[in-house]
Amino acid sequence: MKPNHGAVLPCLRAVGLAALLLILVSQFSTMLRTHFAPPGLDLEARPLSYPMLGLAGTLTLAVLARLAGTFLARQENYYDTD
Amino acid sequence: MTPTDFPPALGMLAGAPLLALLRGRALAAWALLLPMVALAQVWWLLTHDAPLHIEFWDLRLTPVRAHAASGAFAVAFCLVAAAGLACAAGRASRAELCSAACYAGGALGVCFAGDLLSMLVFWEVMMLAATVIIWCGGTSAGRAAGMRYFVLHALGGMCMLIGVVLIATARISTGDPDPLALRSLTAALQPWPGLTLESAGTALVLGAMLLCAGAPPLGAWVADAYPEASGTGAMFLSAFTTKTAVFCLLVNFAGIEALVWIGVAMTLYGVLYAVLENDIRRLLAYSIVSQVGFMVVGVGLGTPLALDGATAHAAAHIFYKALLFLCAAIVVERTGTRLLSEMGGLWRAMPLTAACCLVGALSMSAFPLTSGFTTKGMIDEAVAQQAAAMDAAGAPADGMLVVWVLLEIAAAGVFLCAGIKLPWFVFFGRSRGAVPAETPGAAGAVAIALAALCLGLGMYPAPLYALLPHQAEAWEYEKVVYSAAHVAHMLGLLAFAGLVFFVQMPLLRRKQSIMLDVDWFWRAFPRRVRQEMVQPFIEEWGPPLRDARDWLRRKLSPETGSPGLYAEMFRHVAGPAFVVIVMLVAYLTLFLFAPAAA
Repeated sequence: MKPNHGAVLPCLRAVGLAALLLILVSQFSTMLRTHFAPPGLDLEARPLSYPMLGLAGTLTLAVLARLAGTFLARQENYYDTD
Repeated sequence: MTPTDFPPALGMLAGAPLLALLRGRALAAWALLLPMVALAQVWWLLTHDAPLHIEFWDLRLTPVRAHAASGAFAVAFCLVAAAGLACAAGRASRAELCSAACYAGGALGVCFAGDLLSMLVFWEVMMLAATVIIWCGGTSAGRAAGMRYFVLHALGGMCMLIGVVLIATARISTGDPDPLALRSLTAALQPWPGLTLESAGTALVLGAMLLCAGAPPLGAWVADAYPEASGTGAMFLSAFTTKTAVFCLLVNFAGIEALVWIGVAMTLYGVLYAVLENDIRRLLAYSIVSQVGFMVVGVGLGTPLALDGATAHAAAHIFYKALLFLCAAIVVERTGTRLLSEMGGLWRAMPLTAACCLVGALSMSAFPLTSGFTTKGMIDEAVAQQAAAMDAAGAPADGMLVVWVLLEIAAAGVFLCAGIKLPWFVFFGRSRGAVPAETPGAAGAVAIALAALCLGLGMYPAPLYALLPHQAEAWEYEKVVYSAAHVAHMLGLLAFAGLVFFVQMPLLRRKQSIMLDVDWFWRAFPRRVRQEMVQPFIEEWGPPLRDARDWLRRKLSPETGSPGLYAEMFRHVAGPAFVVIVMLVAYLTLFLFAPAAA
């Protein structure tokens, strides 16, 4: 029987969303300590600090990359024809 | 004769020509046997601490000496050489196979070099072998990229040679009994003692090593050269040069503070360009720079845990990057394109490659249960510990906090560009056309083995930790690596970085374009200068200059009009005279600015 590939991606999407929610909840866990963060940042007072760091950091990188791309992008044959 | 009587590089170098001569099963067997024999010798060297000394022109050379970090690097080099050669046997050209074995031999030679001269010699062996591997890509772009690689690294090698000579001269002048010994050079640069023979030489050696590590501003050679090699060639290239540079930085320059900031710059530069890239191989090449940046930060910190982290991450990186380049090679071979914008939906036809690529990408992103998680975390933890130590000592720790935050952002960025972008656009995005289903062969078997290694070192890192230079710190770290806090923090960071990818996908979807990098200065700038300055000058001033030349000829040889004696002499002497003048100026500069050592 031919496998139904069409159902796989929606299924993966649902699993991804569920995992995201689970990770979000885990950030509030009382077990968490900032063993892996420097003391000056006081991250233990803010349970969502790591997700926020990931979110803000990657958003900044994506925007920076977009901006840099407008200056740095050239045609594929740039070095051949220049 | 025992295995300690000759460098492990010699075995690989001696066995390399056979790879060009054998065929069929004999070739496959020899391709596996050669690195395995080297691995056995490495094991012997690690368990028998017996350095080999040779007298050479009243200087003592030590071609075999096991350093604290040699074990992890050498074992990883042997394993990846076995994986690469097994893959390449029967697929790659004879020249590439032979060069790959020499390349691995050179890397092993550097790992066990106990003196500066041996290190330099093996370094140059690596450079030559890598150049041939790039040329074996077989395209005109590959030949040009190989030539650029050769010129840049030959310049780096020259810097290193001059540096070694200056260091040895300075040591001889202070009565050092072993002037070529390979030992930490940190004290020659930090605190900066002013320009002396030793500091100048050490700075040159550091510069050459940073060039090979891919540090900005000259790090663009990684993305210029590696993608132009063949699929298996790129696998070899990803493993040796940059990691050998990290090894040398670790042995010679641990604790140099500037390296922390250089490492941070490398992580961000690599990630930013990887986000921009549309070419799968160039994306992977930029991510090498980013990952090596983490290692350089560890070297710069210089604490035992940081050095362990740099060593462990280098070993893990060798495996997962070889896996990713191998998967890229399989995909490029089947689709006939390197552009992400022309791929998509390949998981249906290539489920095995998709799974292996996913493991490699997650390892690079330091996802829990993969090798990156158990190694990169050490460097983050070392930065945090350093900040805490500075805080406790009353020293301002703001700089270290900035380093920590930037490393976390870079880690999230790695997940964005390599952890998700790469597998998504290649395997799970919109399908761009049917490709034939994969047939597992040697490449598939090697990919599975490397993926298993990445997962194995993620779930059970003890064998890797046992090879690290500072055992106590490594075992201490092992107790907390899978603590709930570490896992939850990393998952939180990566999950929300992943969320950004899906929200910002239109922003990240690439078009068919290339990105300018610093390599513009050696690829396009000379051509621009010739087109816009030299040619107009020649057109404008050519005729009067030719008239002047002819007038000079007539004056020098009035009877015949042919070039006279003085003109002939000038033609032959001008080149050497120029070299002598340059050397004199260099010598005078050193003499004037380094009076104490001179």
